[in-house]
Amino acid sequence: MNEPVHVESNYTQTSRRSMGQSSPFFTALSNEEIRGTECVDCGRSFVPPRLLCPVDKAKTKWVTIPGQGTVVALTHLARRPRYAAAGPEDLMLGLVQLDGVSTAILAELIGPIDGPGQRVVTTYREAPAHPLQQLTFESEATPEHNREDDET
Amino acid sequence: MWDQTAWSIFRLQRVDRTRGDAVMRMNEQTVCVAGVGMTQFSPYARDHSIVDLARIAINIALEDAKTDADSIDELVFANESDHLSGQVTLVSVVQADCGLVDKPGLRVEAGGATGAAAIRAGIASIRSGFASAVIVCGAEKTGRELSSGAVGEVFALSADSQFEYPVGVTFPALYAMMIQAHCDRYGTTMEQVAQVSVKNLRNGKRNPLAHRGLDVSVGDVRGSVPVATPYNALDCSVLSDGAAAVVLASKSWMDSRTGSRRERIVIAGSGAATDQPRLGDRIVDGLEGLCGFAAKRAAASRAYAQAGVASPTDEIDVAEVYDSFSGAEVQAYEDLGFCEVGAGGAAAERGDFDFGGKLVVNPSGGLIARGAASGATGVAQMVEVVEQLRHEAGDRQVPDARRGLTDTHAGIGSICMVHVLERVDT
Repeated sequence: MNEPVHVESNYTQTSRRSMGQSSPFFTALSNEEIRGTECVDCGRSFVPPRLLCPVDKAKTKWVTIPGQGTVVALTHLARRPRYAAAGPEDLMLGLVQLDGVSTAILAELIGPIDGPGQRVVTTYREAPAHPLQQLTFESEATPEHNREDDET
Repeated sequence: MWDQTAWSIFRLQRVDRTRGDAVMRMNEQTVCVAGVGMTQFSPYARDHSIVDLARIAINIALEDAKTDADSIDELVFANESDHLSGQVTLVSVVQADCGLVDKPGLRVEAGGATGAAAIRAGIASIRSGFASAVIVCGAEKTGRELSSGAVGEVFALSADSQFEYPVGVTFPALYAMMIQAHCDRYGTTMEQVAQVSVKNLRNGKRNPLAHRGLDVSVGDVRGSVPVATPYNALDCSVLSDGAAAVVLASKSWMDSRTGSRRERIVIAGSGAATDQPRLGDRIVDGLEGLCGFAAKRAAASRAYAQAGVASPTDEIDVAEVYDSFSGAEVQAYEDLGFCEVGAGGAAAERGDFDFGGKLVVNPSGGLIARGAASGATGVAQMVEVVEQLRHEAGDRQVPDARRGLTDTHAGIGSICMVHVLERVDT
């Protein structure tokens, strides 16, 4: 068979999707806060939020979560995907379990992270393409996070 | 809630395997695999559209079953994403191309488990009495019609599009975190894990329909291009173009066909289960939730109960396991009950699941070598197992294979499906 015909396409779609009942989480990020949900029965809390408790299927309520936690897993990607926030060519992703929360959120890790067990704090990116991209984490030990301690 | 009682009426009665022949008493609802077929899995099916690939696989399977489209009651089509094919409702286009218009047809999607899910839908259709013969076809082009970045982005959308995709999630990243957690908890080494790639790439050399086959060393795997630590390029499955098809039929349909084979390949068990799709949600009961595929354990347990399997490594001869990454196969050894939890790395290092071992895993080369074409993968796994049980697998034949298993999953094991197949000599 001769070379078959090939047709190029640049099909794209523009969309404006609702974050629905998860919206309080994204609104809180714009105020540099973390909002998760807490089960009304067992008291477990979840970030990212769950509207139904995955353990006992009870309803949950919105709660504010402190912005520090522990890296439970991480990986270094050699190439940053196109759909991630703008940044260096590589990307470090980690699962961060915020203090008091039963689950872990996937987020970009900034700066030196030793490995699982590293204590981290929230940092917020300005003007991201997607609200979730505001949230990043860096080591609790970085100087700017210890500045308050130095001043006291 | 899964009802074991309901399945018990379909359980085949087993006879002492030491007799050499597993003679079983089948009932009218027993589902047999009457025919199989698949195309080459390749980086780029230049001369064939996805519809062409589906048609080729379907025709090979029909010919293998010594039948034609007129005798088929239904088409179940396995295709993961319209984003990849550029064709919505692809099943209708395939039906029209294959002489199957007027027959009931549907498309099944369950991420990477799509092919197995389509098979399960076909089984259900026969067992319900809706159909006597169903053709299940999986087809996908994940090769060069799109850039690898574009394919990766489609796959990333099968993670959580609200809470993971925008962060830059990739499946290599998620699997990498899982295997690193496995290494940290159980002392597994990436050198042990690399043995899976060595094995599967070597097996690919003996499969003429495989995407690739290579002789590599552990050092080659560990030295290949980093993708997402600790995974490197040779730890990863490849993006393929390909199609595969199986003809599923009831016992009565088989009995009514002259010229059918002396041996029957029956589906003795079909198990399915799901898990939280977000990896971070799996630590509610502890960080060990990062280390394996809980849904695979549940799916296997259900399939084994139906098939009467008590000890997989004693009773199963060959398995096609979902090696999306080398470590995923190590984790699957444990979750399928082939070895103790935490012992998968050592088992890989010893060659327990290579030719000459306890049971042969991925003689086709698996996703790492035979290739991964999303919707086609689960069906291709069954094609391989059927050929093994017919003793028609050529250079990669597992000696005297009588019972086989397919293991297919979506995402990071968010949907898991396990099938057990058995050869019955009539």
